[in-house]
Amino acid sequence: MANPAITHAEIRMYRMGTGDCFIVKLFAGQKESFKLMIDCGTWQGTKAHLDPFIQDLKAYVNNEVDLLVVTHEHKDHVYGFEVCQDVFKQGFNIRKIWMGWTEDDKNKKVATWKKDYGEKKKALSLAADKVKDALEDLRYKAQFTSEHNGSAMFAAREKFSQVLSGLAELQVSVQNGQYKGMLEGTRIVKEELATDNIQYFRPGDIVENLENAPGVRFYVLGPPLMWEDVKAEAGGKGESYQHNKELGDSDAFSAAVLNYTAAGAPASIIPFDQKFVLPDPASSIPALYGKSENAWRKIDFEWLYSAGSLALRANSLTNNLSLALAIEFTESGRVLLFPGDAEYGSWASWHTIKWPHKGRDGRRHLTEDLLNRTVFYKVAHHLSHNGTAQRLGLQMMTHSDLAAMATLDYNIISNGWKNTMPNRALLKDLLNQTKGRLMIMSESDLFFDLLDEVPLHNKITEARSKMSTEENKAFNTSFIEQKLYLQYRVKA
Amino acid sequence: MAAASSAALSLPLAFSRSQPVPSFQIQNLRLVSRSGPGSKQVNHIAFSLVQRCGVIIKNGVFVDSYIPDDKKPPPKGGFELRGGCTMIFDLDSLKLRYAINRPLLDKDALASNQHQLDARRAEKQFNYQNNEGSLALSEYSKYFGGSLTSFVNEPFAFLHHL
Repeated sequence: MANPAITHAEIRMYRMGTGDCFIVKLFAGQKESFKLMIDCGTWQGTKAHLDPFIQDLKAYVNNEVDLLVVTHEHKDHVYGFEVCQDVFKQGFNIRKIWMGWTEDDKNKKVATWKKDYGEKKKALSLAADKVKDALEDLRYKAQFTSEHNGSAMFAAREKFSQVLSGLAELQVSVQNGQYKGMLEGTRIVKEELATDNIQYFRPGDIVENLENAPGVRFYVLGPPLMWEDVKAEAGGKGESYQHNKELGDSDAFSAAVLNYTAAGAPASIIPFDQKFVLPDPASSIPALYGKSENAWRKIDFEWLYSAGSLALRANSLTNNLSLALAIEFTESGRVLLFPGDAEYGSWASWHTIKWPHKGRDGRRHLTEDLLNRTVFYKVAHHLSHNGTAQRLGLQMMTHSDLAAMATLDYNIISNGWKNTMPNRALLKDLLNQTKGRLMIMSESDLFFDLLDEVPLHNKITEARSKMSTEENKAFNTSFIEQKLYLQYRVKA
Repeated sequence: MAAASSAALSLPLAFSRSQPVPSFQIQNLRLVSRSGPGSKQVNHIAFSLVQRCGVIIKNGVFVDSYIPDDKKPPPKGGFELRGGCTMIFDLDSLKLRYAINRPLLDKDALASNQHQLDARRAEKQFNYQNNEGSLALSEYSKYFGGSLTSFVNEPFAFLHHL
């Protein structure tokens, strides 16, 4: 007998800290039918902090998920697998694992590209350490002491260092000072939790009628495919991989950091020709600059600040490698959108996918049609300014049932992220389009305005008052708020 | 305004004892000697007359003004609007060569002898510093600080402070 049709989904967002960990359960009436897990990460957290969440998750899915989706390799999406690896390794069954095609290490082009990208990440990590060391170096401090606004300038550099270290930590695994390749959480999934059951997906792939998920269709939107044609960093034009091209600009900086040693660097990476190097270190010029009153003239460490650009490019690039999925209930056409942390470039590329057919009206591009039918949106990249495309994204989510969940928590968040998350313009549009059905991991310390005068909570409440009585009632019975998670029920 | 540098003066203008006394500061008084046209040495004296006024903006609209007090935090919605004039005198001819002004007062109103604050400028500046400006920040400034968020966070910033 065919499986009974799916009637609704329960979407549970764990509140471990800024980062994603979702369970989506599909039900046929009262009967639990299919269990999907998406990511398991948070920006920061000890085992003692994370364990209660993961234990709850394990009990909630009764020790088994039908499918695990790992969207991309950032700490806030995979850290839970590292910290609570014991919980996952013992008595937890994962039937299938899905990742983006950019995670397929057996693909030769991916392997070559990853090796090169790995070098960039390593450079980023080293640069972050060097900036930190420089700030502890008394010679560097001396450059600021006699300066006008010297202490403010030094404090600004300390802030830079904190943000840089945060961005490096997000994507680079370092143990005992040694760079270790992929993030430990990703490694554990690939090498210890997977049982030869990982599948890699490309945009345009469509999967339907998975066992226990009848009438459910998965559309793969990202990561963009154009990368595949681009060997390593060779670049290429088109807005969906502008970051790829930009990363190439960081080649010289990466080479310099990776080869930097106190004893001197190979000629190939020194920015100036050998003939400009002073032959005698005891000559008058170094001696002049060496005088303490001339400390402010020195720029020994300034070059390290180029690491900021590298960090931002690497960050956006990995975000754009997110496996982005639209999950459709085929009968009703209602869609759940889980884009990982896809940024604008990825969103734009979804609209160029060559689908086998048009949207339901036979006219619109299928991607636009899927966005039109989206009733649940997992907000990409924690409400940042570029995590949600405007024209090619949110403006197309016109369904009157639209609800959204965002994984932002100011109690546990990286330095520097607060300046981009939440983006006020995005908040405004989301509140308007969801009629306040915006569920944020933690509303504490979040304000709607830049002057921190209007608590976001008040604005959400205000937006919810615009729902009709029926809508309001439906929302209140669908939404559950618990200490460990927020949960929302969506009709199939 | 930041504490005046040691070279700055604060002079009360005692034209009315019954009202709060307006004041201004002289800042950045300095001698500038440089090569001019035909390699002729040019000697200038440059300094700025600076005034400030506390203004309160609510929902983007000017509502009130106050006298700034460095010992107290500004009132809610308050920020300091600055204005003044930089003057460059030629030491050799003892004449004023340049005056660059940005007064606190509304110049149009001043023409009809009304002394009132340039409220529109205050609103625009407030909006830029607290709203529009941050939307236009570069990705780099958003994460690492810079321009509006930290004026000193740029390499060689010290070179700008002549």
